[in-house]
Amino acid sequence: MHPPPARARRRRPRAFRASVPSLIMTAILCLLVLPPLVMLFRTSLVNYEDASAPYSLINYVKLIEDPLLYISTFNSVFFAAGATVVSLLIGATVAWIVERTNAPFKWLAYVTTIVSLGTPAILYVSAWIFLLGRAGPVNQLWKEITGSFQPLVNVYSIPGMMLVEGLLWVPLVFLLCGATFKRQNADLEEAARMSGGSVFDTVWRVSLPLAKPALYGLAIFIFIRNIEAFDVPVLLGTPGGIKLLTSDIYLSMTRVPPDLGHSSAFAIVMILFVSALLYLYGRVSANADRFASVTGKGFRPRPFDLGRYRWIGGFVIILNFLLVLALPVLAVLWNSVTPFVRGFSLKAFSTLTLENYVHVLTDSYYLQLALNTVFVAAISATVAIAVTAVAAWLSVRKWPASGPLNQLASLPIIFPGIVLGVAMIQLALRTPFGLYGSIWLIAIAFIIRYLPYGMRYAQPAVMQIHRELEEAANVSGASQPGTFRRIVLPLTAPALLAGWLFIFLVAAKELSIAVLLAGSRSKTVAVAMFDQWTNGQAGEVAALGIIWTIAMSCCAALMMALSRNDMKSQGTL
Amino acid sequence: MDSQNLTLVVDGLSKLYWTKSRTPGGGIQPISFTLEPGTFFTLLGPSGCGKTTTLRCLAGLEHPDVGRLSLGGTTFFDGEAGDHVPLNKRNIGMVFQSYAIWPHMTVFENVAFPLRVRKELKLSGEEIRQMVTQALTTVGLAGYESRSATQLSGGQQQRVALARAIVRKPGLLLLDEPLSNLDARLRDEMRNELKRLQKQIGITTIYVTHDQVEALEMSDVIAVINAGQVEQMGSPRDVYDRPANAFVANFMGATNFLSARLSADQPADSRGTVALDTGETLDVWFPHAVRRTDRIAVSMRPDVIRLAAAGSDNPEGGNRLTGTVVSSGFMGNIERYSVKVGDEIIQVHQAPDAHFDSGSRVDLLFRPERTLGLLENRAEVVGAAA
Repeated sequence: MHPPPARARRRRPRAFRASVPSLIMTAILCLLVLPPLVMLFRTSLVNYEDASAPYSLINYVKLIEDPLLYISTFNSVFFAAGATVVSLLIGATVAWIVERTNAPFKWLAYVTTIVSLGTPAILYVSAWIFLLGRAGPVNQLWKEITGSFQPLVNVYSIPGMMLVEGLLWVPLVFLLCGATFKRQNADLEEAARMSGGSVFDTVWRVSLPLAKPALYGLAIFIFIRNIEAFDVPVLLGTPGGIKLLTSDIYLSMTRVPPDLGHSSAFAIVMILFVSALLYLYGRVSANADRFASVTGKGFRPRPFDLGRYRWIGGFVIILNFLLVLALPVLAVLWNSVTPFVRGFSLKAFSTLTLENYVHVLTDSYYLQLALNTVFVAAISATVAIAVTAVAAWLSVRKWPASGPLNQLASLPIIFPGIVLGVAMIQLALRTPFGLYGSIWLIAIAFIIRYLPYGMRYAQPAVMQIHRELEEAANVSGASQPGTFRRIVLPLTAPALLAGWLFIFLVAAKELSIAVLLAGSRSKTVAVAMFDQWTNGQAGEVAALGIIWTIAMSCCAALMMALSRNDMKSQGTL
Repeated sequence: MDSQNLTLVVDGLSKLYWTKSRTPGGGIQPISFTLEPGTFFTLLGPSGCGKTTTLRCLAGLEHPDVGRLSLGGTTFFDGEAGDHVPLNKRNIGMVFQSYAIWPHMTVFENVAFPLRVRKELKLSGEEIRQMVTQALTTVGLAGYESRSATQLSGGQQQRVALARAIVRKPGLLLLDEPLSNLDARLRDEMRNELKRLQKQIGITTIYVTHDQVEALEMSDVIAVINAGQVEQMGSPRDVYDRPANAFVANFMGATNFLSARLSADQPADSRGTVALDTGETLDVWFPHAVRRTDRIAVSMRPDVIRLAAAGSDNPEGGNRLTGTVVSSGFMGNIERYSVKVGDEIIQVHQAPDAHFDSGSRVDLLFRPERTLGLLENRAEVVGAAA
């Protein structure tokens, strides 16, 4: 009954051969994921001031003794918490109205989300700076109405930053919350209504508690993203004299000469902080699964009838549309047709011009930017999805030695963008073949950064394939690579394509990594917008932004359509 | 290449799963059988008994711990020599419980798949088309080639799965509970259809099921498996009429058991007397040898018992027990009674022409050759058959 040891030995070559694919994938992932981490850690220990003692904890000591660390940490946490509350309040409310009620104008919420997904954050931030700035339309209107000389709002303040950052994340919260609400079992709510509860009672006592674990998880996730935020802290915080963790790292890197030891120690502290938050997130979202109220197939959530209050729901959707999409886009549009930055006034209409558009469309500099961006985004999306599709398959099907694949591919999630940028610069400086400042460096950084995203799309896609579909192919005579190519790939294609588009979109607008890595000839659109905005060329930024947003929104629409189809097909398979 | 008419030899094949606490957690104890070409062989047992593990070992989806497995002259697996033919080189057809019809392919492409992936066969497009058409015609789906696989009903998907399994004329056909996802009416229909197809193609078939009616109707040989062990292997009549022990008798259909003791050893196929725990004695038929010390379960199926008013004549002779009707239920073709005899409730099926009210005293009359004396527990020696 117990196999004698001799035979176990003889079987080992077979077991080893089966673990070769996983070992190769492990090696690839290690090669991608580990060097930045090792490099950061090493640099953080280098003593740049004392050559006789090359390694010490001096960077950490200086960091901890500097009161700035505590101020920045406090500011970062305060800012991130406020922004999270803003985006959750708006995003979750709109998601609930759209997914679970019969309010009108639902399509408007999707349009808002699609266009926002394709818009670089820098464009939004610049729009809000224009709208809420000292000479912006909001303060102008306030001054004219009240006759006051003091502006109403100061956008270069922590509350201002919270508002802008919060609005930035509303579309994603809307999407993720929508998924949660869609999965809620309407039977539970109808039972509450049958027991005599009003719509409000039902939402307050049944729907909300059911969604709570998922919402907590989402809140932590958005909080982490806000801690890692780069655009708003640099564009709004720095001019306002408000220091945050990410802007501190950025400033110490862009100082001449860059303070590598300080920024690396800072980065390691930030990685530890984010890791702790991610651990918390893991605990909360594992709990959320226990609350999942989906039971079996053929289940369809039924919307609440809001009755006379339908118009309130519609009003909220329109308000969301105005705040998240219409106002910023109008501001950008306005800036793109005015020859120089000026407040909104009727007088200015006579000076409107399309010159910025002409310039953007004819200058080869902008074409180069667009090509760079598309190239980097496409390369990183393709590699990340290809690697994670194979890794997910090996790990879901529990191939020998596939244990560490999932963890390795998910590891880069602990890198805030700016931190990964710092690490990649140091790596590039040590590689001989001219990686520094090249577009490939950005592509590699993006691949590392988006591996976890790829895994999040690929893994559930593979899990949904019934095991017997693959076994049937094996029994029919297909080899394992043949099965992957003929069965697994076609069946996961919609999910992988949606994942590809998602990575393409976020990579195309990613700023925090690219801003540190881009050389003069490897700039991406987001980096160029950032540079031009800080140089005061707002008009061309706006024109470029409008054109870019239109192109990216098409990609976003395609992605949403694919994700929807994918969800539909899950029911039939 | 005609790979049919091959003899399947399974010799001491075993695969055990271990739980984390190092206790056995399912699998199959060493199993041996030899199947002549064209045999319909059924692995029958409750869920988790190891029948699917056995099938997956044959297919190559699982790696057995020990044993030998060969089809014709080809050794698929030999634990001693360390031989292991990968599953995609075995030329075995298999129908999965979920059918495993690939949703991204048409019916034609699903069936053509086994031909397309076997590059060494060097089949032309025309040959593939012919073989697929032939397979689809065999299962009665000619004309469905261009349908999307997801547009098919459960029964049609089942047929596509079968066509895919037989299209390259495999040496062995494996069926893993193929009827369990169909509704009752369709299941009856497909049962006949499958049996007819198997005889028509003449392929050696191994069928896994937990439904004893399917097993009895379709099989040439049945292996009854319980907790990883073969309880009995034999023809359907053999297994039904001469069960090896109480488990087999119970699993092959509803039956009544009464505990009893022997006064002497009994050889196989003999008649003898047992004393029930309640004191009565019964004349009993022993299909297998039992020892004086064994615990005996007397098995009487509900339909071999005749009810009569208490104290009436029993012209045929044979066994008689007396009891009280507890309840009865009219089921159309039969009337079902629960009769209390001593402390035991005995189920009786009667033609519904006579009726006995609840509470009435009745005699239960049954012939000794239909009253089986069986081992209460598993026999020590498991016979290899076929």
